[in-house]
Amino acid sequence: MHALNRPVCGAIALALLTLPASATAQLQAPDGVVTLSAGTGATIAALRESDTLVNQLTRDGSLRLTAQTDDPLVPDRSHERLQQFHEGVPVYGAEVTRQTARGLLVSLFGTVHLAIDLETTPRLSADDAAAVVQDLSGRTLFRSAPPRLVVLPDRANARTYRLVYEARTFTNSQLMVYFVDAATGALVWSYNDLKTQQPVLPCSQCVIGEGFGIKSDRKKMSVTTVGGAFLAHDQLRPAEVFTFDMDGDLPRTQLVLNGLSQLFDADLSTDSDNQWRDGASVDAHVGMGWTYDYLSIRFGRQGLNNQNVRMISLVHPVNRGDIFTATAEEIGLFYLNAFYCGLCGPDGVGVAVFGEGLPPNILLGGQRFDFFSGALDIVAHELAHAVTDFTSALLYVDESGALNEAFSDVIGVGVEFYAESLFRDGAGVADYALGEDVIEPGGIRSLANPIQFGDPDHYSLRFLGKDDNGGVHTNSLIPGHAFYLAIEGGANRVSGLSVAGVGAGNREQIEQIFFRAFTVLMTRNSNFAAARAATIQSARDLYGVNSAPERAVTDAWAAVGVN
Amino acid sequence: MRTRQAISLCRGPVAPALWLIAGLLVAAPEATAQLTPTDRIVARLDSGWRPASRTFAGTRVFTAHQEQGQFAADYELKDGGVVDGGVSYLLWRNLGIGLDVSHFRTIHEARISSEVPHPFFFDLPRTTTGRAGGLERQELGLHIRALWVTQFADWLVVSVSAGPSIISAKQDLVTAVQHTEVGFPFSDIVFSDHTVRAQSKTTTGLNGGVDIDSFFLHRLPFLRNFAVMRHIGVGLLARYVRGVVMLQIDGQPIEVDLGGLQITSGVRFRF
Repeated sequence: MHALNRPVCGAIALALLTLPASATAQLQAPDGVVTLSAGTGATIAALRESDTLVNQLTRDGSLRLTAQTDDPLVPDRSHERLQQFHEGVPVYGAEVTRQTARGLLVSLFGTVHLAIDLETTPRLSADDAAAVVQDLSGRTLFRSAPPRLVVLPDRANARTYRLVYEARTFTNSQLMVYFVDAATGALVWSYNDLKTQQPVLPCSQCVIGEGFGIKSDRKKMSVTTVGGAFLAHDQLRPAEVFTFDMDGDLPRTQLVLNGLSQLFDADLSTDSDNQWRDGASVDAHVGMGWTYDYLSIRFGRQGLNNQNVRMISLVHPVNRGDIFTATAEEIGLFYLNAFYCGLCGPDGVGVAVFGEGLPPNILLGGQRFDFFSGALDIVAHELAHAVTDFTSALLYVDESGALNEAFSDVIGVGVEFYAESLFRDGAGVADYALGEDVIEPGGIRSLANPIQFGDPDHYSLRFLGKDDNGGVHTNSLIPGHAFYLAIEGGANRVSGLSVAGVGAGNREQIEQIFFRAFTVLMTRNSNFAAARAATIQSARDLYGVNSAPERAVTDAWAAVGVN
Repeated sequence: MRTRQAISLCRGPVAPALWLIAGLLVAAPEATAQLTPTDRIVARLDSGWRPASRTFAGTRVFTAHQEQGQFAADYELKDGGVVDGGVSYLLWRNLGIGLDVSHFRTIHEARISSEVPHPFFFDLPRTTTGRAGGLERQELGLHIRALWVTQFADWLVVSVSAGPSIISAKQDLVTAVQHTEVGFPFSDIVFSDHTVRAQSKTTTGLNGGVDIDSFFLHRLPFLRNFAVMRHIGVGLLARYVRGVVMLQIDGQPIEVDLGGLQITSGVRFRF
C-alpha cells in the first residue's frame, strides 16, 4: 500500500512545486531536489508552503521523525529531526529540521528529494556487502556498525540515485565510510570520516587529585581510587570520563580503535599518590571534563549525545622514541595530530585520540609539537566532532565537512574562553588560535586571521580541490572567521565589509547562536548558505528579529562572502 | 494572655525579688537611718538568669579537593540559668569580705558559614551556611568580694562589692563540618552535619555587684513569735563578671568572653 502511495505522493509534491508562481512562488525544485530554508525571515507563504510539503511527506511516510528535543536555550521551542525514506530505505543526507513554538511552526531547514525512482530490493545481502568492504579495507567491520541499506543521491548528477550499502571501518589511520552498490558490489563512493585536528564524581570511590599539565600548570583531577591506586576515571560528572594511557603501544592502540581489543581498568592512566605528573593524561582528562562542563552550563547539553554518553580519550598512542621507525601515515596521525573516531573504541561510542607530538629537539616547519592533549581547544575541538555526529551529522566532505570542522573550532575556542574566565588556574590564555599551546609558536589555524596560515578568509578564496575531503580544514576558516567577526567585529580583509560585533563580553550570544544552529537546525548536507540561514534564524529565535546579535551574524556572513 | 504572664513571673526566678519589694512596702514605715550593720555574717543562696548578650567566633581551615577551605562559627550565646551562693563576713565597721560560688549553664547554637573548595576548579569556592545546635556552655565561678555594707534599717541591708574571680569554663566548640554535594555542576553545596568537642579552661576575671537584702519576715504578724525569723531574709543580687579565655581547636585559638551581667535572688541568713 505504502509502496504504491509514495511515488504518487512524491509526484503530487513535485507537482505542487511546479504550480504557477502565483500559487507557490517560494520553493524551487530543480532536478527534484528541494532545499528548505524557511525561518523567521521568510514570508508566511514560503513557510506555509514548506510546511505543507513536509506535512505531506510526513503523512505518506516519506519523512519520519528520528529525534525530538526541547530547546534548552529558548523556552517553549522544540525541534524535530526528520529523515527521508524511499520505500522504507533512508535517503542519505535527506533530512529536515522543524522548529516549533507551542506547536506553531517557526522554521524548516533541510533537503528532500522528490524525484527518486528506484527499486529498493537489494541483490546483495548485508553480509555480502560486509565482505566487499572487508576486501576494500582489509579490516573486519565493527560489530556495532553493520552495513545498512541507503539510497545515495549522486553528488555529481542530479536525479541519479543508487541503492547502496553504507559501511564504516577504521583502517589504522582512517575511519572510512564506504558506499557499495547493493546490486553489483561495486564501490560507489567513499570518504574518510576521521575528524582530525589538521589535514593529513558523588560516589564512594571518587576523589579529587592534583595534576600538572604539560606546562606544569596545576589542575584538579576527578579520579577514582581502587585498591590504593588512582585511576583517570571521572565519575562525578553525569557523563563518565575515561582517559586511557596506551603506553606508546601503537599496535594495541590500533586494535582498540578497530574494536578488536577491549580496554580495561589497567589501561587507564594511573597514579600512585594522586599527584599526577603525566601532563598528557592530566590535560586530556581535565580538558574533557571542562568541555563537558562548557556544553552543560553554556548550552544545557547533557554531554556529547545529550544522553551523557561516556567520554573516552587515548593518550600516548605511540612512543616518541619510535618516530624514526614510524611510517609517514603513523606520524601524520598518531604523532602530529589528534582525532575523534566516532564508532571507535569500547561499545563503539567514539574515542578521541591525542597525538604524542615530536621529541623536543625536533622542529617541523619551525614549530615544536608537544602532546596534543595539552591544548584545551584541541581537546574540545575533537569532542565537538562527537556532538556533530550525534546532531546534524554534517557530511565530512566539501562545505558540509568544512562546517563540521568550523563547529569544532568554534567549540574549541569557546571552551578556551570559558575556561579562562572561570578556571583561573591552568587554563592558559584564551584566543582565536587553534592548537597554539602545543604547536609552538603560533598554532595551526586562526579564526581571527585565517590568512596567517594560508587559509581562506573569504568565500571567493575557498579551496575547490579534492584534497582533504574537499578542503574541510582550510575552508572551515570561512565560517570560523564569520564567527570571530560576529563577536569581535572588524572588517574582512577581502570584502572590506565591516561588522559591528557583539563584543567579547557578549560572546556567549554568538556561541549560543552557532551552537543551536549547528546542532538543531542544520542537517547532514548543509552548506555555507544553509549555515548562514540557520545561524540567522537561531539569532532571531534567541535574541529577536533585528537584534544586535542577529545583525552581527548577518553582517559577518556577508563580510566573508556567504550570502 | 497578660494574666498568664503575670502568674508566670510570680512563679519564676524573680519571685524572691517580688517578695523583696513586698517586704520593703511592709517595713517602710519603720525605716530608720541605722547605717552600721549589726550582724557580721551573711550567707546567701540564689538562683537567677543571665541575659543573652555575648557572641564569639571561631574560624577553622580544612583541606578538601586538594585545596584549603574554611568555616566560621559564630557562637550565639543564649539566656541561661545561674545558681549562686556564698558567705560574707563583716571585718570592720561597714567593710567586709565575701566568697561566692556561681554556676551558669546554657544550651545554644552557632551559625556556620563555610567556604568549600570546588571539586573541579581551584579558587572557585562554594559558600554555604547552616546552624550547629545543642552546644553547651558552663561556667563555674569563684568570686572573692570586698564589700561595703550599709544597713539602712534593721530589715534592710545593701552591699556593694567587687573583687577578683576565678572562672572555669567549659564550652562546646564546632571542630569540623560536613557538607553534602548537591551534584553536577557542583555550584552548590549543603551543610549537613557538624562535629563538636568540649574544651575546658580556667582563667581569672573580675566581679562587681550590688546586693539588696531584706529581713522583714520577723516583722510579719504571724511570724513575729519566731525568733529565728530575724535571721532569715530575701535578697536580690545584680553582679557583673568579666573574664576572657583562649580556647583552641587543633592549635587554632578562639577568644571566648566569659561572664556577663547576671541577676539572681534568693534567701539570706545573717548571724
